[in-house]
Amino acid sequence: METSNSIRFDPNRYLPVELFICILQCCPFDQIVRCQLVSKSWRATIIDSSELWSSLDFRQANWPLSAAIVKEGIQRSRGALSQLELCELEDEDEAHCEEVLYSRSWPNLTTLRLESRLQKIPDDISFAESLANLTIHIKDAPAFVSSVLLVRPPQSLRALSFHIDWFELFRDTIHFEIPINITATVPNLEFLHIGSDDPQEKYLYRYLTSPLLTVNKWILMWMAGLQRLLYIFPGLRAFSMIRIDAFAIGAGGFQHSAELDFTPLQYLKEVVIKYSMVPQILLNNNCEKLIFVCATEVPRFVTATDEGLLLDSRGENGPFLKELTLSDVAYPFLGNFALIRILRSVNSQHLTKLDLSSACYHRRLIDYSSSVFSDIDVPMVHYQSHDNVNRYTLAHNIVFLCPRLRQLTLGNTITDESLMPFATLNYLEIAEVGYSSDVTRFGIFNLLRIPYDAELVQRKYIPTEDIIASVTTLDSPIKRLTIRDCRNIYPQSLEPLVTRFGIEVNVISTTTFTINGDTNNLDLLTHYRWHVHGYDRIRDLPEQRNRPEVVRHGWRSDAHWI
Amino acid sequence: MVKLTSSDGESFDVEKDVAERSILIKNMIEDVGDDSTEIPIPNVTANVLKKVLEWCEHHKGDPAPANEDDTDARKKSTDIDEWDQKFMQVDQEMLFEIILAANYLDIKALLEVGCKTVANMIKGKTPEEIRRTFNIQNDFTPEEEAQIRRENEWAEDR
Repeated sequence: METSNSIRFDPNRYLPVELFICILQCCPFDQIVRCQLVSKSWRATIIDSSELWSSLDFRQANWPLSAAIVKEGIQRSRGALSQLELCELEDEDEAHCEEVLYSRSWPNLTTLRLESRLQKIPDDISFAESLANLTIHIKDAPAFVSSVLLVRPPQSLRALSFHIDWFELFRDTIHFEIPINITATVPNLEFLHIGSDDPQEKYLYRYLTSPLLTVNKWILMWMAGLQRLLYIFPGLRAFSMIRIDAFAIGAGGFQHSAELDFTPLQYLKEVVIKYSMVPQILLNNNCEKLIFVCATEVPRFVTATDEGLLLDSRGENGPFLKELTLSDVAYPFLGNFALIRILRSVNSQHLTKLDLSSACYHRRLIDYSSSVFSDIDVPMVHYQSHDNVNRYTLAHNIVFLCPRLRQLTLGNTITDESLMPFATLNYLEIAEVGYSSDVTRFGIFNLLRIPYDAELVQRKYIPTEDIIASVTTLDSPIKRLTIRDCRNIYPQSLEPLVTRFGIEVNVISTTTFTINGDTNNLDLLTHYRWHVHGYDRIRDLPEQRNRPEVVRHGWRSDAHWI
Repeated sequence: MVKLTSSDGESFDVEKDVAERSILIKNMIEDVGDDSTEIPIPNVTANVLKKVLEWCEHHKGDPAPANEDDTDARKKSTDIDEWDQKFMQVDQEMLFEIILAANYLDIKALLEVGCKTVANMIKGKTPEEIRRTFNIQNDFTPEEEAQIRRENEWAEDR
């Protein structure tokens, strides 16, 4: 394309201006700014365009950014700004940018994302009267911060998201609230997300093993405030609450905070509650999706009757859920029976997905599995657990009792014994079984006997020699091997899997992908098209190779490099 | 089958669902109500039309693009599908002509691929490298250039 003998053209002359701007819009913000220096006509086009400056996502730019660049962009937009993402700035720069932002009104601003260290969060967002999406993400909040107030959300707000990283460190100092005396509701708000988003759920085990569990009265008040919040947003469709508080347990036993009552929210379709202490959830019949992870007790479902009375739905009239997740439900005294009660109360005819990973007391579930699962018929079941108490008996029962089952995911240690039920199940040929395994060294041998995709998760050391030896001796039918969240991968040691056995290798979210200055390793990667996603850094990458690509993506954990 | 005629008079017989990747042609077929008539494409020459139709043929089964909300996110990512990358390995004149034709014929996905391809030729380059890439004369005086550089200092110090 750039060889010297091909003819070259200035796109700003060859193409109409709107198409040239389309091209520039594909570039990161700082590149657009730099393009002003190309020629007078480029500069004129760039400065005159309001489209180029109406959507500013500074996360796309190369870091670090300074306040000047952000200020420039904000001012260039001349009030036409529709989308602004202020992220990853230095403290001073951030304050500076926010000053510019709050100094005038932005009638077209619909999306605002503030990712900040909480120097100043606007307590009045009336400067953006048509704001529809607001995300506030507090990172590394300094300890002196005492409160966050979000006052008077504009009527137009449709989605509100409030994150705090490391919530447990700041839960006593950071406070998110809408004032009690607010009379107007925000009828258009459809999505409310609060808490600390943690898509990888890597903090799960810390909660489960945390030795220090204290009563936190503040949290109880918080829950009451949360309930009040819900009433301000009558049009809510999706609510999610993650890591607000995991446990509040004192000497006297478990302290219950208020229940969350969603029944007045008639549009509510989706509730996600993770790592939060909510002993009871009242749901109405319209709710289609409930995800409930790592809580002290499973929720009670309540459904409204025609007379307007609330009845415990135990029995026939459970919510018509399409998707239900009850995982890591860890209440040691009640959880086992409550879980079964919940499963029985769900009206399963609409259920398409059921996730019971690490639901506590598997044995109890197994004892009752024939009665529980004969009522629940669901096409997709996920079931992972952290011990191996006869869980394959349970899986066996699920397979037999759920005629709609098409996909079953089982987790963790795979032993010879655990494979037995499936050996006789012809039925599984039409069902898709995935094994996501933190396999033991011994387990790897068995993993490879399964004619399905295999996955290695969270290994500190990948015994590649074992894998290769196993594939050879077992004549393994495995077609695809996924290595996820593992440390130190040496590409060269995995090479025989590709060359000798034709196995497709996917490497996902490794913390360190070791190239070790060895260009052969890099060549292997590109040659065999191994898929490497989400590594944090590549060690010792040779300077000249693919450098821009790596630098550009290396910042983010969703790096994608093939 | 639909018969398309390029600006330089060459005719192409094309399957209807291939031609209808172009919203312009789709609307014309609907307006005429008769598949068998010839449709003139007065703004596109035969060699460009041939190339565009090759793209349409490969992408004829593609699902309809997702709703408008996603377009911005897609625009920001400059990842291009492998086949499209190969397809776009043409000289600059053809590349720009494809963009113009995609715009005229209203083929959004092709227009997007074209724009991303050019954007990838710009990204990560200094102004001087961009000038060389597109054979652009630097018409700033050294003083003007220095002035803009001062204004843009923040964009340069990375």
